[in-house]
Amino acid sequence: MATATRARDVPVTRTIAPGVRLHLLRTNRFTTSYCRVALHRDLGAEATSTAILAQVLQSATRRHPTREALGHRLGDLYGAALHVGVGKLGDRQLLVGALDWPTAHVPRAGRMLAQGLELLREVWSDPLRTTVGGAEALDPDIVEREKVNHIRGLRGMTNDKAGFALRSCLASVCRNEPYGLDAQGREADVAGVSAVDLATLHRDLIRRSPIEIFLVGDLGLRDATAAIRKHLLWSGRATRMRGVPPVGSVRAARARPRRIVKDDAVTQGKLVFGFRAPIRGGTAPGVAAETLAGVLGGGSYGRLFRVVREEHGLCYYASAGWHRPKGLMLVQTGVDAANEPAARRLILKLAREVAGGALEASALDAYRKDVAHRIDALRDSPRAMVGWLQERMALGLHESPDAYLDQVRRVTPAAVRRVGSRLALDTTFYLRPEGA
Amino acid sequence: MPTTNVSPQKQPKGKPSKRVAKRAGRAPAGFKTLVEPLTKRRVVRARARSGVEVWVAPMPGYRKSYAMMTTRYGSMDTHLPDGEELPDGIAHFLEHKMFQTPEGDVFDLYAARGASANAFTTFTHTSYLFSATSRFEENLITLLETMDDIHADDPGVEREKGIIGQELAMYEDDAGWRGYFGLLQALYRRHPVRIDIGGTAASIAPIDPAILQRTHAAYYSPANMVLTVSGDVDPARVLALVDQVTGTRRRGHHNRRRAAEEPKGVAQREVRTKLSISRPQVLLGLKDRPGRGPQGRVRRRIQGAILFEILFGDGGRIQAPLYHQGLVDDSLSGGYEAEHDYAFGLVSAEVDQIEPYRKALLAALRAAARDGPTDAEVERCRRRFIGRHLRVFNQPESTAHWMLALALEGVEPGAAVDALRSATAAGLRRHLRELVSAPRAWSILEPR
Repeated sequence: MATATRARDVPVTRTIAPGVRLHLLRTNRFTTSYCRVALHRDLGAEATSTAILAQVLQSATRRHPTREALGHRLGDLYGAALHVGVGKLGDRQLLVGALDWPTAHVPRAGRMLAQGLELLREVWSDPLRTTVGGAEALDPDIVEREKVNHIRGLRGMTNDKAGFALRSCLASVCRNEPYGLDAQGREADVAGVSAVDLATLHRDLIRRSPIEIFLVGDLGLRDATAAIRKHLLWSGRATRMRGVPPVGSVRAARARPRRIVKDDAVTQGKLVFGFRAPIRGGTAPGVAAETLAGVLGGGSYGRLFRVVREEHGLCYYASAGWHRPKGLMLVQTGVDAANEPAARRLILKLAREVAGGALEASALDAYRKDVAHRIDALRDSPRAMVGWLQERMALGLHESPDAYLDQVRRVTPAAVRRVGSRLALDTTFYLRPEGA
Repeated sequence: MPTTNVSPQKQPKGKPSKRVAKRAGRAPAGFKTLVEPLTKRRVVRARARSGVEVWVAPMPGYRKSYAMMTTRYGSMDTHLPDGEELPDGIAHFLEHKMFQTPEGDVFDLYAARGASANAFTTFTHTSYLFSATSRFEENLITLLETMDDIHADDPGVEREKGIIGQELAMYEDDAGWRGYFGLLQALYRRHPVRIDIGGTAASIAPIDPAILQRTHAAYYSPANMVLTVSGDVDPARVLALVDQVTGTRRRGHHNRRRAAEEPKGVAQREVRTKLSISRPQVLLGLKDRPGRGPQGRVRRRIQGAILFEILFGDGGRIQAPLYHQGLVDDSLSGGYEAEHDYAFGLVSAEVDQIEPYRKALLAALRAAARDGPTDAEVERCRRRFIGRHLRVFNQPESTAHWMLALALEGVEPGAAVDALRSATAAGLRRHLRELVSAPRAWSILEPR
């Protein structure tokens, strides 16, 4: 297996201004460049307004004051793909604005890097503004429209039944914790958001939030730093940044597991299990816990796939995933209502077995190789590499992908058993077909 | 541009031109070198001794290699060549069972080597694939060997019905899937594109090992298969392995589908489905005629894609005003699909109120057809498609899927760009007028 790291595949990190870090991944393999700007903040009272702000920023700028104008500019930049949105990283909310655009193989390619970065700066720092009652405000028409769209989006999240079941279980497992809140916020908070509030929030965020800039392209650190300073970084940044909470926080499962059943007019039931363990991400026990989840349900080699699907034919999908910053494991499957009790018992039995250290050697080996494959393949995908870097850095982890892989390879069944002894079921959520 | 949006170019005869050879370097023995015109990237193509069509895109420096073996057999193939009618969903069922071997599940072999494997079935083809960052050749041999035979016994087939039954149940709750197939069933009276790729629990019930064997024998022969490989691989080794593994197999036949007999009109003007969703979803289908021959088909497909991008892309002619009016949100999208014997345009949106949206959409379509696209809109759209096309070459996966589309269509790498460049506002206006006056149907999902 090729695990040797090539110099140009290693991201370089530099602080290029107060509170601004540039992470450069230099490569000439891709036909497009990719730049992601991420602001970290707490996931709390302003989560909803931050999510709406993302939509407003993506709607218009002073220079491109309509959706058409902004869309046309993206078209002129050879279909530059702009994404502004919010995400969740442990107990933090991320406000992300990213652009993927061709910087080679097109006419006048030499100007494309600067033009793309300038558009990204415009979107971040120069939204369409006005004054309302003497106060600065983002465009009220756009804000009102995006509030309506945000409510539609929040309600529409229930359409994805598997996702809805997963979020519902998570909300119970992380009750009273930021991670229990969706990154898009709450419908109840939308009405209270005003155009003036959003202008204030925007001004504060772009002045005082720590900024992480990820750039993937064919240029060296000196050129990248110069280009970012000249074309992307906006003026008016404060010298002292606002603080952000730690990404991770862990706790044990509730004393008695909770079972939630919600009826819906669906054909297939969705069953989700939330387990918790007070195990921090990035530690040796944390890596063992990831292995536990992987061997249980990380792929076709996992116990869930092999037993629940292949042996018993109870489901089409069954998987488990470890949430590194929060010390929790979610297990999910879709089952026929008649088979739900059998599937539930079987999944809990398998989880107990794996947590007890009963790891098939072939499954453990396959999990390690699967991680090696995914880690190695990160270098072929700018977005995947940036996502990986972003989480590791937020967790305060600075080891290379290969060093992480070495940690995974060192996990033993005994280490899995030790973390398994601390793992307990917190919540079971069942989206039950009506009438079942 | 989407990987399926490839455009035609004359098949070069004989050796590549000096110009091409100079740019691309010498092709490995047995291969013909083809050059993608925008990136100048080299793709090589060969025919293995067994008849398998082999495409390789060398991608130096990439960690991941990706290989995909495809049979030109999909859900639209409803009969065996001897006329025997097949149960709906059997192509997908066969896909599931191909992973079973006398030694166990092929997934285990891939997993033991750290490779990731999967498969999928479409209307026209079924593909088996893996990606790996090591042991590429062993995995390729496994992929090729897996296609050789099907090992299905009664207990395994019956167990698979349970698994597939749950897969079908999952799609029953999927609004996107239900809306799409609702539209196809409204648009088409007889064409097999109206059949759900997975079939139904009832249609797969009679499937047994014998019919799976007959279907495999008919459609999984080397002459009907395409291998596409991308990554930091040696094309000559790929071809040598294909010859080694498939060289002694019965060559078989290329599955050339006859056009289905489909009336011009739609089956139903509207299909309504109740589902557990937050608000209505409305799909409009415009039944078009496909282009003639590979080149004409791809040219028309590109035109359709450009039209729907101009109208429904971000800031588009119809998208922007409907968005401003609050009639739609980001869920509005338009697209165009075409195969050799069917083509349609599709507009989809989640809406608060069905009728005001439908009225506004039809009025906007009529106005767009009257005025036609402008040269500036066409040029901007051309640029967007060039950007999308360039992104294809960022990933081994998308590159392999792009080559597959070329192979299935029978066209060359440069054709898409040529078709894109030759699109004109006048031609697009004619096409839009045809579409707007074409038979149309609606698929409407309503909250339960």
